Amino acid sequence: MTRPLIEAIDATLAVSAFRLVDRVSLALRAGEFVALVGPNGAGKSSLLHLLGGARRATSGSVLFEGRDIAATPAKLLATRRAVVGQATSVKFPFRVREMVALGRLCAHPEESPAQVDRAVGNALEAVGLSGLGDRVFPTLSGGEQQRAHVARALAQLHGVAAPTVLFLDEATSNLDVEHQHDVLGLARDHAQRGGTVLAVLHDLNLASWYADRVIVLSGGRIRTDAPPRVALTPELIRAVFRIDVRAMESPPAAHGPVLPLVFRNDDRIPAYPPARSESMLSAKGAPL
Amino acid sequence: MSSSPLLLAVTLSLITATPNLSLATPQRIVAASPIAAEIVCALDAFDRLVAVGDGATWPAELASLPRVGHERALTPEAMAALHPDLVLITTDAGPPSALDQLASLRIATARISSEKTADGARLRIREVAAALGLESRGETLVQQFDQELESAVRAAASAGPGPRVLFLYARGGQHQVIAGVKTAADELIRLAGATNATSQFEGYRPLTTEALALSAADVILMTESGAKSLGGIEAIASLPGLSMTPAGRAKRVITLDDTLLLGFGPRLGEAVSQLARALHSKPAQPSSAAR
Amino acid sequence: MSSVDGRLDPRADDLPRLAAILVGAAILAVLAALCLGSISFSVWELFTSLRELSRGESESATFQTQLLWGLRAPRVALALLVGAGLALSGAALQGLFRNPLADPGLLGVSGGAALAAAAAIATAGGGVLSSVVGPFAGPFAVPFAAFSGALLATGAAWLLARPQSGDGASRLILAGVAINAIAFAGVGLITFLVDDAQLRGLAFWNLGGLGGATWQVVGVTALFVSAASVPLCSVASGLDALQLGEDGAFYAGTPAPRLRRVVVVAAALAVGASIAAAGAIGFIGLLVPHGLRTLGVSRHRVLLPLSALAGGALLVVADLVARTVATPREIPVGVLTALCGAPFFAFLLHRRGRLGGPK
Repeated sequence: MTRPLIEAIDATLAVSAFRLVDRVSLALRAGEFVALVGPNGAGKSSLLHLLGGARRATSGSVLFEGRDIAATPAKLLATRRAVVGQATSVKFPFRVREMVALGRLCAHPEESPAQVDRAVGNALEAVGLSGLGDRVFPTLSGGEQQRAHVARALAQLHGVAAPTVLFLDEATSNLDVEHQHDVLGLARDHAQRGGTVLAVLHDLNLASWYADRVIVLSGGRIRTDAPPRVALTPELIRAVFRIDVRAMESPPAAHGPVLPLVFRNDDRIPAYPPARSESMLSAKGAPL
Repeated sequence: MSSSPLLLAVTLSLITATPNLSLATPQRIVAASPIAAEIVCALDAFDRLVAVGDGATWPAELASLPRVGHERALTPEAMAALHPDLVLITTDAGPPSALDQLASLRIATARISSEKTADGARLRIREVAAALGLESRGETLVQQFDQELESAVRAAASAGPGPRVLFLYARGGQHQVIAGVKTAADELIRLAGATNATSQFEGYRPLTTEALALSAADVILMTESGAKSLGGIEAIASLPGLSMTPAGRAKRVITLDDTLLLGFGPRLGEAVSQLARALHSKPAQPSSAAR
Repeated sequence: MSSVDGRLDPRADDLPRLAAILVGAAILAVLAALCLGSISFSVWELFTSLRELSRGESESATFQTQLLWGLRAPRVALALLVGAGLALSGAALQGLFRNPLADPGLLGVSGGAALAAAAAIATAGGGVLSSVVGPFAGPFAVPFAAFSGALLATGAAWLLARPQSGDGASRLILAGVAINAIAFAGVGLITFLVDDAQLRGLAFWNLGGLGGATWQVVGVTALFVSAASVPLCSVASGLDALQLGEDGAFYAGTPAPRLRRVVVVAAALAVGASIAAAGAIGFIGLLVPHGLRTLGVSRHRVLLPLSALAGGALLVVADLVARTVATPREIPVGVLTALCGAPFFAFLLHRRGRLGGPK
């Protein structure tokens, strides 16, 4: 087992008496795609910020490559991990390419403009925004802005030899189906190339499809940390998310993600041919 | 110069129009304008004063009297507390709401002219004298005034053409204005036989530093308080623009007491002769008109 | 996979052309300001009189030469510096507060500087406080005091209006109203306490003016403004990252607390020096960065230096108008900047619902 890139050891984040994150221990290793799920208020974002280094643990420790992350210079961290955070409204009329270049310019200030351009160009193409480089960022749709932020993170980590970590904090929440899978597909490619991904997700199906491991967080504590099949059992989901689900295997021949369609149980709707997928309560209704 | 009977009549009617005032001589006078206080003292009626306004520095006895604020910021309540039977102010005094308040408090108010000329000075003397019921003393004072002024002006004229004088009115670092024509300073300079170096405009205005430099003033004239507020003669002579004038280079700054210089009261003759003396004295070192 | 698209080069579009235009405009403005005034010179005469000076004949130099290089030139230089300082601090404050409405005057930074400057002047004559002011006496006393006042005011503005979730624009304006009100009251109190009618004219910020420009003042101001510009330009990319939020800035490698410290101190230096030298001249910190953003300049690495350039040129032109339009009288230059800036500010408030620039 390789040494973890980022490791939390009994880490707690408390604000006055309230524990946002409660004695959490976990490890992120190279090549892993880890999904972080849980109900609202479970502490997912706080845990992400702890692991990213933006918050200091009240007790316990968070290590980056074996050393205390709080002692690691921010600039060095920026070359090894990038965060796509929850959307902040950008008030100034930056161009899209300027936004995407942001992370890279700060993390790699010594680079030449041509090198920056290469990273930016790759990233924009990867998220499918190549034609929009010159647009004014605030005029983009919410989904386009989100993808631009993903491109920014990708550009920040582009070309770094050592294993890098990509944090996605609900980065697919306002994307349409196609782009949700595009972005997560990119993240998975990143993991397959030796990087690490930690994605905070609401959609349990997305988590089960893409993640190697799922961490379920509730009340600041880890309920389970295991591969999706083991972690996302109906019993656990009922206990944590308070909703009844049924698990189902995707058809073995499927190459890509299969979306279960869910219909309401209603007598008025005529039965249709059984060749269709069986009905199942999907995470669509989960009170996340 | 003859008095202005019409104006006198108006003044008297202003006083009589205010109820509760006996035409008999008022005994408790608040002179909110410094020039009014000076005239009252010149009429030998100091003992009738109960309070004066800010800036009343002449004569020295006025220092013993309580102050009621600046004439442009009258404080009717403070004045009322002194139970005056007459408030003496110039037409410059304000704000108008304070004047209304004085009227509603039924406090007799006499507004004297604020015209800054020799004629205006005579009128003021007569108006104050009338308000105090001291008309004959007023006439004597006017005659004395005429004599002093005439001899001062004649002496100044005979001393030869005067220098170019620039009058700088300052109240602290950022508020500086220059006197053009139709100002008290301009009139005084003219009476003293000199020329106003900045006569292209009317009133008190801020000028560009280049205009100051181009004025080619030989002498800078200021009030004493103004000079103090700018840090003294050295500082004034080195102000941008002024430093390039003959006055700035020779550090030739003349100061006079505020009310003497700008008040245009009974001491006008003395003001003219002091100024003329200072203007024609040898500019060996910075001169300040002695009291 | 790598597509080196030339259009992605952040500098491949109008930027160099814009910079060249601004530099040209600044040079023209300076030349015009030197040539025009109570006496007019031709450009050739500018150089001949310079030559006269360089030959070391300062005593026998003609009146015109003295006027030009002893009176007008320091004034133009001061306009450049003050305009640059105000525009620079405006741009930096807008980045820090993540709010296009941040401006030294509106935020109360100028007010705080003016209050401290007034206090310094009022105590300079003597008394206990001059023993504190003493070590910094001389030409640095008032600028240093103004800097401290600006620092306190910016700190107060941050406490009152730091960007949080939701629209912070109204909070920002209100914070500025509060701080300006305190500063106004403070100066009023000082004026009253000092009382001598002499010092009643401590209306430091009402209408600014560049008439007090001497080479010494220019030197002190230049010191402060350059001390402000250098650190600001070094955190320029950090200011960009700050638009992603404080966490975003940290994740990009430029932690927000350090950014904040640098911007606050640098802006206070620039604003303090400007207030001390020229009183309060408003709206340059608002007009200039906005104008540049509508022309497509958003990255602070370019916005900051161009703001300084454009701000300096703007104030040089405004001062030229102020001292020639009603000659020999002088219009306070703050009136001119307010005439342009205040309607623009109202327009900005009106458009507040829409994001970003027009393009």
